[in-house]
Amino acid sequence: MDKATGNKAVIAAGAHFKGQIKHARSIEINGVVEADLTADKVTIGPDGKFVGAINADLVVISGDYNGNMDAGSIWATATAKIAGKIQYKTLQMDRGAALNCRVVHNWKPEKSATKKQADKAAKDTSKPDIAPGAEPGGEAGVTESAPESDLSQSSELPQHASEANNVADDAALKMLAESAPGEVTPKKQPASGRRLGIFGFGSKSAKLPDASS
Amino acid sequence: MDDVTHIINGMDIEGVLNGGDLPVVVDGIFTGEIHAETDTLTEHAQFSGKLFATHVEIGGQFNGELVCDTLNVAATGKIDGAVKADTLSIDLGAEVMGSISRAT
Repeated sequence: MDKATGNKAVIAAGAHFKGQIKHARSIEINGVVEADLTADKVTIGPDGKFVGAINADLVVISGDYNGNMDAGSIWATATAKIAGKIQYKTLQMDRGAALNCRVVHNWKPEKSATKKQADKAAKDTSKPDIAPGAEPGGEAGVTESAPESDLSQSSELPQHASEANNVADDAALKMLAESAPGEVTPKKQPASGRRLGIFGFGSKSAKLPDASS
Repeated sequence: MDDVTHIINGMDIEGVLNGGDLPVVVDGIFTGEIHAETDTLTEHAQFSGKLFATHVEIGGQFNGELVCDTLNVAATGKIDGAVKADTLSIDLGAEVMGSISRAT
């Protein structure tokens, strides 16, 4: 009997199993199984019915499936009926297969990459808003602590994270302007230069009469 | 070819299995309960739990409670537990520990 089935585990038609299956390299299900299954290859036959989670490299479904499936490749044949949620990298679906489930294309590596990129972008966008007005040395502590205090005082609470960031940035800029006016004035050098120039001319003009007198 | 429920070597399975009318062959590790018409534990099998069947052949390790009509313990078989069988045969070399009684 071992030679007949080879290296493939089988739940035969008419059999019913309920429990947990681990380390099944290759398994064919022609009966009814309610279980959590980890395997390399899973085949659900036309008369097979599986309820539960499957984690496998390859799943071929010709029968009924209901549960959460995470598989590298899924092949749903014409007689397949799938419910629940399936996550896959490659999916083949024959004409007639019935999918009544949540389907997720599983791009885990790229998802993490995009998240990292988004985080970096958020950091890059948040830093330049505050950095130009602030000196790299002493003003950093003020800018970091300012948003919390200002947000706690403000009555309007932001509903989204982006709004919160904007409010925080505005608050940081306001605090910068209030707490360190000496740092803000150098930004307006053209205006102060004019004033100095005028003041200089004025002083000269004021000095001239004094000198003459 | 697939008219047998086969738990292959290296497989770890835990739960309750009702084999129906078709034979059940356990070549891996099974913990739990099996109900079957015919059940075979091969020499690689490790079974812990309760086994109810009409015909049973044990060539591996069995721990627990066994109720059957006909039991054959092969030379490689090791039984530790309570056995209830109407017809019993034990091959030379088999190790049987526990209690043996008739099923009926």
